Amino acid sequence: MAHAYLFTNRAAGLAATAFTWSNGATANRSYLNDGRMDQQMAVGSVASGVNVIIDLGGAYSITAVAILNSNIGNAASPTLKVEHDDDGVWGAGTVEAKAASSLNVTAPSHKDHVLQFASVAKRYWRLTWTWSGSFNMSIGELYLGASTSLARIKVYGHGESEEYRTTRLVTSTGETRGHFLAGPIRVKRLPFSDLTLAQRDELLAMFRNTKGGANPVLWIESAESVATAAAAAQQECVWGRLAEDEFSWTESDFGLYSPNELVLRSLGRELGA
Amino acid sequence: MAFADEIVKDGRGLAIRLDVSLDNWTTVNYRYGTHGGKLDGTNYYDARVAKIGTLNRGLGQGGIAAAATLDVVLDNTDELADWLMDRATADALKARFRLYLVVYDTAVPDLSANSATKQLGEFVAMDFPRRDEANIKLTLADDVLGFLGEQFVTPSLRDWAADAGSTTANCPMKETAGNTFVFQYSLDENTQAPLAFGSNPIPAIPIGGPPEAFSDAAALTRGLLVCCTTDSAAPGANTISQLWIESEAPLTTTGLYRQVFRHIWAVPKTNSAGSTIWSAKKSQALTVDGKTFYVLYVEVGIQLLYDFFNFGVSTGGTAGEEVAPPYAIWHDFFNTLNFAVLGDSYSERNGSHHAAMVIRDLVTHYAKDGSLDRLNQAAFLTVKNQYYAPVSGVIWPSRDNASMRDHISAICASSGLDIFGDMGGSISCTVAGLHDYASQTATLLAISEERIADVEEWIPSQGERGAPYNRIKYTNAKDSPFYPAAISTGPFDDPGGTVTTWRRILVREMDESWSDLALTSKNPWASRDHVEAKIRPRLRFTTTLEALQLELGDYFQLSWTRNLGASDPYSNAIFQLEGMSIDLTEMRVELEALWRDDLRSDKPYLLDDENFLVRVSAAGGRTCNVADSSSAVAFSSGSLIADGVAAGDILVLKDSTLAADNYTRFRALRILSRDSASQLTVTDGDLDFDAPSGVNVSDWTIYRGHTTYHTAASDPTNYPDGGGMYGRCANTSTGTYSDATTPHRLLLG
Repeated sequence: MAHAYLFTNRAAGLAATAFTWSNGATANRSYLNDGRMDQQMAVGSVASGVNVIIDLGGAYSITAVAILNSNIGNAASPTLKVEHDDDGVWGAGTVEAKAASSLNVTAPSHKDHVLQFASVAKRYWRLTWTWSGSFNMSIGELYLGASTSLARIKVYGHGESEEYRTTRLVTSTGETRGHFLAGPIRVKRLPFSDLTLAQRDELLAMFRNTKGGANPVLWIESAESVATAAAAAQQECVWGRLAEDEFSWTESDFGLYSPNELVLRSLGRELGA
Repeated sequence: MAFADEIVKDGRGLAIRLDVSLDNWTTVNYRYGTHGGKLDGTNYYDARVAKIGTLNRGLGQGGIAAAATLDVVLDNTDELADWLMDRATADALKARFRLYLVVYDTAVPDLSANSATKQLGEFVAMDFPRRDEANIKLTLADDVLGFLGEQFVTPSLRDWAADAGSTTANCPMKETAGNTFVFQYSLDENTQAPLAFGSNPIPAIPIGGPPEAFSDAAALTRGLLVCCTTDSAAPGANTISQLWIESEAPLTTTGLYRQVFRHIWAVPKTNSAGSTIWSAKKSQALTVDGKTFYVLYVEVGIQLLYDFFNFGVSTGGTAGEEVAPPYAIWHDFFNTLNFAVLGDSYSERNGSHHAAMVIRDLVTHYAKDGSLDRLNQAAFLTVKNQYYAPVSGVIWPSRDNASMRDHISAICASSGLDIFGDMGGSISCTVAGLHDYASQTATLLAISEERIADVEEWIPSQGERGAPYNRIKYTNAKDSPFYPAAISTGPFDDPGGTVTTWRRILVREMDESWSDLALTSKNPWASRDHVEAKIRPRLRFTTTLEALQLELGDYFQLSWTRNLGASDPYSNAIFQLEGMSIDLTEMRVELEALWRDDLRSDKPYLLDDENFLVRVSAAGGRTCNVADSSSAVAFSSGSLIADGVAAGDILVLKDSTLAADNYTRFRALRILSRDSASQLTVTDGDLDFDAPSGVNVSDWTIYRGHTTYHTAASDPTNYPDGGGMYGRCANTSTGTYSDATTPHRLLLG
């Protein structure tokens, strides 16, 4: 197991027409790559499944496809398969990058999924979902990119929290009234310790790429690069921002460095999420 | 889902949405929110509202509320809010904002079916936005009253004359032959025509004429500027009902010397020969600043006016014989006079000079961007119908150097009205202590003591809104043209004696700049609506968002016992909302309200006209017989059945053979039953009629009782629809008690 991250979405900046849905859905396609999770494209109610073809406009190396803030976790027996093609004529030249994988439907990992495979540079990509019965899938963001792996994993002391944003009024008599604003918001705490200089610089590179908390990073909990179906653990990902604008470290032993704990806070989701 | 139902529920989800339009709501150009998602159930909102402040709303001390302001910080890290800073498009100036609170069921966060929305106001950017690296900071100001900051624009005399072209019929400043623009005196040509409202006499100012073309027939008439109006209807018989003149010298009539009081004379419209001395006229349509105006003026025949007074001075004849003087004399005579008129509509468009209707006219018919859509019409009509507040005044747009807001504020100060922007984005109207049907009968929102915090109570101090007073002084009382200047400014002391019992004199200064002279000349304690010497505590407290069901001026009930017991100090008492601060970050509301728990127990109006309740009364020698110890009353003739007499009615006896302080047969008896056409039974336990063997009473009346009031519209004597008891307030024009027509009903039924 190793962690990986992405900070460049190859789907970002594509025109809405770059996404072709098998059921002809076109409404709100721009929400698929608007850099936000809160605006979702609803595909429409479809029986059994649906696919989308993505034209990246050129051949780019891709190692991971993430489907972020989707409601697929509410579907019955959902699966996702990733294929690519050189010319968009789906048939003989089509290659399955990732076999159909049963998607994790267990909270809090049921809204964000990533499928990883060996790096390949292709222009056309096809994502195929299946489910039982009819389902109206909505997706906040499609993310395709080349991930960077970290040599070391987090250490004990890591953890995760879920936070609700609420308001509360306490009256003179002790009565409380509360209102829900948002949540749960996933927050991962990622402590690292005793890194070599190279390992520390891997983390520092991630920090620099994300400009601290300025640019969101797609954090992959368990990196892999195989074409076989992904297990739930390898689908785990969080798209969020680093909470601290500062990356500091101390040399805890000769040649070993301990950076400050990284805190990754998920981006906001749609109202009610 | 209804907002009122949802906001009281615990644990509901909340979001703020901000709709932005650059074209006055033809299009919603931007949709921002504190959350992403379909906040209006249909459109996706951009989660861009990073911070939002507190919205303060309150009734103003001067009668017109200060514009509510709200600080908003928009996330601009993606630079997509930069449009607000675009100096080329000036979009920040064009932008209008509507703020909404969205409440939804967190269990089913599908807003298209499970949400309710409350608009909290409509705003414009009060100042240009500020930008830093990540945010755009905006201060929004209530747009509802914002446009009132402009001045009125009405046609000037130059506009009028220039538009007349070769048509002279509707422009006294034109000569028949040419188009010479001549101003003889009194007014600059750029003077804009005034707006006038009410029933006070107002000045009529000579607007010049052709001083040299004396032989021109047109020169025999002169014009007096009265006001302008947007009403195109020709002047009616009473549009200008009287023309008054005032002269420096005593005037005479034929063969007689007559000195008029203060040298004031009301000139008849026609002379004894039937010739028209003066008439009310309107100009042609004049379009100014997008609105069409008509100047209302008086056309005076100067020779006929001169003749009317028949000076007895001739140039060639004997005294008492009129000899036509030179034209110049007529003009010179005209020029020595001051004029005023009395009318009944002037610039009014709603047939009423109630303060609420005058403000409604100003906003809808005279303000540049005004329209009826900007008003909460129901609120204005409620105030008009239930609160007596006639006003009178003149607005000189080019002289007053005052905005619409200033004028409306003055009207409010003179009449006691409160004007404010309501949460729905309309200009609304209320009155402190308004008694209307809803306030008397509705189930008021009850805020439970368990839902409030941070309570503070005080009695408003002098100068503060709602401060008690027991002495009234008029300020800015005005003399009208020719009206006796001896208008008392007070002081007028509370006839209830609080000047003595309070051992303090608390003075309220009552602005009279727009008051009707008929009111100003009277003691306000007797003539004004809602004048009282009463101490009303003020309460400020914090509560939950359920208070958003209330609008300014609304009544609600509140208990505040401090857990000492149900009677101390307020148990379900009625308060009237005067201010609210909505904290949109903490999602709580601070309310400020005035005690009004006497709302339903201290009615200020006569509620009934008992003539409507008469079943039958004695006539044609019909008597009724009462006897001691007998509850049966026998009638000598007629049919109680045909009269419609029913159990619950009241029999009122009068017997002039008894002394005035004897009540044995000066009394009212409730009818228990109608036994036959000629007999009924009364319920009174005291059957001492001073008549052991019975006595015939010849003066009696049977009224409907409270259980037998009219209940059917088909009842010919019924009040209009609904039944129950109806009260009426004063006729808003005359101040007298009036009939049961809709505008005069207190309880609308």
